[in-house]
Amino acid sequence: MPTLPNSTETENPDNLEFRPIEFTGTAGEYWGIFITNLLLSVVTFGVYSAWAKVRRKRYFLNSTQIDGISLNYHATGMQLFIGRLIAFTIIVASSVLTNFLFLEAGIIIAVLFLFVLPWVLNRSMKFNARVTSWRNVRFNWRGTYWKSFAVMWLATPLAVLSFGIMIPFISRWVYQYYVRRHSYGVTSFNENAAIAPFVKAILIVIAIVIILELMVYAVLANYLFQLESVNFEFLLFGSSAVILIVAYILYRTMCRNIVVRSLALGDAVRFHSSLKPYKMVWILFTNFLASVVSLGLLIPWAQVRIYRYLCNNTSYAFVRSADEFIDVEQKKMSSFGEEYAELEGVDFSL
Amino acid sequence: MKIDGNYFEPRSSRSHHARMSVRNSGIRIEFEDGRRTGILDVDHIQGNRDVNFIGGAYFRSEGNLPSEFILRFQNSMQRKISWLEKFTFSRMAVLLLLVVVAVVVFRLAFESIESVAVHVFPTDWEERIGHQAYEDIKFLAFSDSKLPAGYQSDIRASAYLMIRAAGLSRQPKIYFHSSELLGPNAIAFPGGPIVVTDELVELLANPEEVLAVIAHELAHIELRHSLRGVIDVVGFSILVVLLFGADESVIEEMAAIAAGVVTLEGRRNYEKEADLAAIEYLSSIGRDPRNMLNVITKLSAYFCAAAEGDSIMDCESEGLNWFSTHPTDADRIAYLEEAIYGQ
Repeated sequence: MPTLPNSTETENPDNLEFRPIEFTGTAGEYWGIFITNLLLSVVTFGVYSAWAKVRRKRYFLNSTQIDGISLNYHATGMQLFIGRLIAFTIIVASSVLTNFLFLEAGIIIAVLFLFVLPWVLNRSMKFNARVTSWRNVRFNWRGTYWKSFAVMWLATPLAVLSFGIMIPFISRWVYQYYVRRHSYGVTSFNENAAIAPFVKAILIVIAIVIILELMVYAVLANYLFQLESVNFEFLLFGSSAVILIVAYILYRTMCRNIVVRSLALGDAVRFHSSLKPYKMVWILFTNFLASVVSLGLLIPWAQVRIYRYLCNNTSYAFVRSADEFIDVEQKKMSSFGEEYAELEGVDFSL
Repeated sequence: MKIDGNYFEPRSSRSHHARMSVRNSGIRIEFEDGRRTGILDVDHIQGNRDVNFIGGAYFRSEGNLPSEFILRFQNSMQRKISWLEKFTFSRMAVLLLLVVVAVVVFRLAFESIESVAVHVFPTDWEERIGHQAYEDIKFLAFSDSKLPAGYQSDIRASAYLMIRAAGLSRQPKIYFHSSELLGPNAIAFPGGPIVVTDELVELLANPEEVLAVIAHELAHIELRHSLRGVIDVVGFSILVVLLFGADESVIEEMAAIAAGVVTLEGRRNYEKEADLAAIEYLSSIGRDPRNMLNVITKLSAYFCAAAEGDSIMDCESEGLNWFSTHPTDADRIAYLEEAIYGQ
């Protein structure tokens, strides 16, 4: 296996031919699926929503082509439905126990959840990977309980307690865990990004936040402070919240570029990412606006738009033939973990 | 029917250029060198080009699969869904209309389910919940009342007279507590008790108006508003998760907000119901229902004064429990005046 480059810049030492991931879906096509999903979910009192999810995932993955071949999604509506039912029962039962019987039950349940959720996260990641295939080979996830525990419960507090100093180190560690524990068939993904680009990214984001905050403060202090009808604190708080969201999107996008640029699948495939952080902010904000203003009717357009941008700016190059990957196992997966994680809103996607 | 493409061996990425031919009994794959597979059974088709076989083999066609091929391997339900999903403006308009109608019907159905649930939910369970909640909040936010014992028992006596005169089915305990955290406030716990803060008694400075507040809280208990509120929130949260699990991210957020708005709207209706019931209870023992109006006016003035400077928010809709889920004071005064003077 060749040594992976430490650098995350756009260099291409092997003169590989990088080709973008192709997305052939359209907003119009997806709108039909979206509205049908919504209608059938409503008339079946939500039962169809599990099948609707399969339909949506298949539409996006089937329209995603790498080397002219689509991704496939193999989960069935029934698998998701059973998973949802179990997760739903557990949540309702624990909620009833906590709220209606005695307060102490809440503490016990919270502690239980603390230890169970990392296991659920692993199950969920594995399920999602195992039901996704390309060229007839399934992906896989081999996370360990304690590392998932650390990602879930220690990463964020550590980032906060260190006043952000640890953020680049934590990001690098979390992304590495996420990437290296995924495999395609028996071949593992690898990623070896250096720490410097993460530090650079966070410094850029901090500088942008400071500049934007100062600008907002200057505008408020000079122009709006005299006006009685303007709530100064409200505007300051609101604009800071928006600036933090912008900072988050910028940092996530930069991290994605760093990670994907040093990503490799065994010694066979290399990847590249050319997302523009400011463009991501623009797309996400205008998507949000369009979805709200259109009362949700433009949600399919917004989803297709961001997905297409991500695909078009992620490219791959084959170092050797893709024909030799053999799948690792054939076990049918349980969907329980995946659905629970979904209800809890856990999103660990790159 | 013969379709050219690439055949992938079971669970392998190794592919061979091949031709797929459809037989009555299933599908056979023929390779360029003349070899061919046995009869294969289709597991499912994905997109327009991918055929997954039982046993793990996979065929990727060179072009889009003919529609008659896809139809052959779909059951009637899948065919209907595919037909619905095809985009035309008229079909989409009809589907959209159907979604709206379904949501409206669903809401109506939910309301009747809710009233049945309220009817069958045992009252002693409700009282147990209310008592537990009272004990928890007492620990966090209430301290002993500094009001004279005589004053407290006078108010209680009037309240119990009112309960009997109005023919109410519940006789909840009435407590007075001092609470810095809640300030001037009154709370009806599910099934009782009722708590009135010393701060509210001091603000109103009139036992008749305190009685009006208690009448309002009694109405909440009599009409089981807390329970209905809990059922609203729990029911809507459950259904939002079920309904909009179809699409994560944006739509879930929006649906959650919509559910919140719907339940708040419900709660504002409860306040109106309680206000109107309160003036009936007061009238039943010959007390002046205008005291209810005075309460609203005094609380409104108090919270508006406290909110001075927050000009961006409407002070009439601000405050703690009393105001946050209530109709605006202007509305409350309007419908109370209509009920009192319009009679």
